[in-house]
Amino acid sequence: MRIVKHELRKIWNGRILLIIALLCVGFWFGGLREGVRSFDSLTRHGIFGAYQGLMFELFGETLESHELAAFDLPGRIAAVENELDAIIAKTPVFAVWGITHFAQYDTWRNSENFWLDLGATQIDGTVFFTDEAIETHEAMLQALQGHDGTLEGWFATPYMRRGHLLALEWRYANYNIWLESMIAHDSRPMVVQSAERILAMGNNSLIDNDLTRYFSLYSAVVGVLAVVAVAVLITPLIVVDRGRKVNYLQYSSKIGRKILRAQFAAIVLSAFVLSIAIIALAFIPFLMLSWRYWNASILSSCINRLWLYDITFGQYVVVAAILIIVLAVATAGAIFIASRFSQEILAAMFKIVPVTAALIGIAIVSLDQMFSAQNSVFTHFFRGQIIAPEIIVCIAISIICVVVAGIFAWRERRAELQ
Amino acid sequence: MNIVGHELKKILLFPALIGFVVLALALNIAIVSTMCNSYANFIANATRTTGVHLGTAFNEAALQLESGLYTDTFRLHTSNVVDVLYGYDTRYIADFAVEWRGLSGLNERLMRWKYARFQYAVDARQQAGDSMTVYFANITYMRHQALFNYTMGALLFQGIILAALIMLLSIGYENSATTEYVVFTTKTGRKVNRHKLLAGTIAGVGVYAVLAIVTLTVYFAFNPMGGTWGSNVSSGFNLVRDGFMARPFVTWHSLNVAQYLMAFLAVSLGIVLCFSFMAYAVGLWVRNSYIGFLLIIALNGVLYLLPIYSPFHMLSFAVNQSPIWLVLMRDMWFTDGGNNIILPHFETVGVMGSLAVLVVIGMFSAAGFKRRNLL
Repeated sequence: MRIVKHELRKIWNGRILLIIALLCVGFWFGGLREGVRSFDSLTRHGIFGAYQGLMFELFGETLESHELAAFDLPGRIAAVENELDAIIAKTPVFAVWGITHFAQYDTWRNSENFWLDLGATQIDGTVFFTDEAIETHEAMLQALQGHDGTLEGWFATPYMRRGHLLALEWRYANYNIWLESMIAHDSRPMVVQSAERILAMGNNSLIDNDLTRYFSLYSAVVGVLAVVAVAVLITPLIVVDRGRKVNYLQYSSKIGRKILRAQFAAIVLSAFVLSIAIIALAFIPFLMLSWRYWNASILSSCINRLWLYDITFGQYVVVAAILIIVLAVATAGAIFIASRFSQEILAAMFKIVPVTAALIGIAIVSLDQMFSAQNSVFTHFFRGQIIAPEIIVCIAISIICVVVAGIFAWRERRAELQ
Repeated sequence: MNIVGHELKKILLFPALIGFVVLALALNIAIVSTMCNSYANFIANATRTTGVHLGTAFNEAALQLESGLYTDTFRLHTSNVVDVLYGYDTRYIADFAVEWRGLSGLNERLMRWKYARFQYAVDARQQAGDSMTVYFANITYMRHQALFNYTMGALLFQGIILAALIMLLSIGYENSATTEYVVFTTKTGRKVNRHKLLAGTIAGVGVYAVLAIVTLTVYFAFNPMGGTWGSNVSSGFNLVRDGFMARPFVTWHSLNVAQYLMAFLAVSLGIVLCFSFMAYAVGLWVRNSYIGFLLIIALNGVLYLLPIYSPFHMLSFAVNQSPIWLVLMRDMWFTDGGNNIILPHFETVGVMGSLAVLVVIGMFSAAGFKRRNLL
């Protein structure tokens, strides 16, 4: 135990900790900060505007049918269309074209003749826009979407609010259309099973539409940071001993021959502690914005995006954190093996760099969009055939790395020095 | 020359390097083998018959194609194609770039000047009919990305990591073998770094060439290009994504797929050289190769963050042409480069400029090394 303690002191030295601190700062400014800010913005500027957040405040984690009726989507849509009618009535460019109300404009805008009516020309079936046609179209859009130049102002226009409400109607009233299509056509059994479950539950989770996706990407970046930080932290330990031929000295005694076991324990413990510290530091800013969804179910679908399992966002966060720790420990095991077969740091780097790159790749494909039908491991490697293959892959890799490293550490006392 | 040969031998016979290359090749082959697309293979084959220039003759040739699973889809997407470059006005992109980045003064003038010049390229591509070539029809973007973003991207990242490691291996060899106090004690001995530089450069470029040749051979075996080799990359089906915008993919010069691949490989090679020289300079100052490698990562991390947080647009535009940003912007090479770039031909200018700067830094470092106390 005392040797482990000393090995830990060798690992956690000031210089390496400074490098890791700089690494964390780099990751924060290089991506994590933007992830937090993007999610914060999307809670108000996503496809549902601020309406989904409002529904969550009014009705809690799930939306029951009577609550949907009470929210009165058709009434709200009619109200914003009245606002649009008023804008059209006072804007001359619409009167020139005989448009008196929004429904008339909307029908015309979506018709095949819209651009030709505005003066565009058609040659051999190809429509060529004219400056006049573009200017007229822009004048109409300007009238409908005119705002103060800010994102808030734009999202507050009746034209945008109408779009948000229609999207909300798709999400909570017409969800059966794409879910039934998915059930009929998707070749992945787990996706079909989840789609059936969501359909039966009425796709009623009020979790923020972008939360799980953004958190998964965020946790993938945290996973990459954890893997790199662990690699930086533990790489020098064994290689420096071997490079300086200290292992010859260590192996001359019975206890010294067990040094690799102590180093292995110290490395795994360090990876464990460092990954927990990184997770704690990195997750806090994101969870401060999203803690209110802690008990909301991630099981939901919007258009082609589908989250597969009925677990709460809180459980999702815990699983992501555990997988990051598991990958950090896998990194420790893999680097231990690579270092064991390197006599000096240069040779070790040629092994450690690809090993770390491979674990970074695994962290990204496993954690990004974890538990969704779009996850790479789930869809591309396992074809949607089994439940949560992301967990299986991460744990299997970690077990392999740790067990193989453990075997090498155990057998080292009989190793011949060269 | 004999010393270079010996230095090269030291590098190439390094077992861990061989292992790395084998692993990289295995990964590339795994990536490439997942990129197969039967519709793309159909197009590659069909364009041998139809040619690549869209129009009446193309449509007639398409009608002669043997009926199959993809024939109707192919005919549907290649008939009545709109020439996206007809009337394409680059002023709109310039306006967007100026507004989006809040440019003014010299920065604004340069951005507008770039897009004014780019208009000539757009008009030339349109008049030459480059935009009316088929490439991979409605899956062009996906196939272009598969080759030039993902496959070449994987190659490029492997190439730059290996180039840096190889140069650090070459420069740091004497330190790790504890022979530097013998080798570098004499004036002549200190000149060995020149040979190490040459050997490291040859090895870095050579390893990249091996990776590229094997990977691309496997790629084209799985994903034959067929008649699309002659299609222009500025095809109206091709896109470039720039922030919120998807725009037609237009190159400064007329390049078919084969020429674009060659040009892409040339710029990639330039970037690999940049990382070799970067490692050379770092390796001369930092004798611990592990710290040296971390320093290279840190340096590129700073270069990555600088344009994002710099309040000075001109500094951002300059750093956006550094090797690491060129790697990240590889899907825009030979195009206008979007609102991050202020000069035409940014990839060529960036590589040349970076190489020049790194050569000067390398010479300065070598001069410093000659006078350094190694104890």
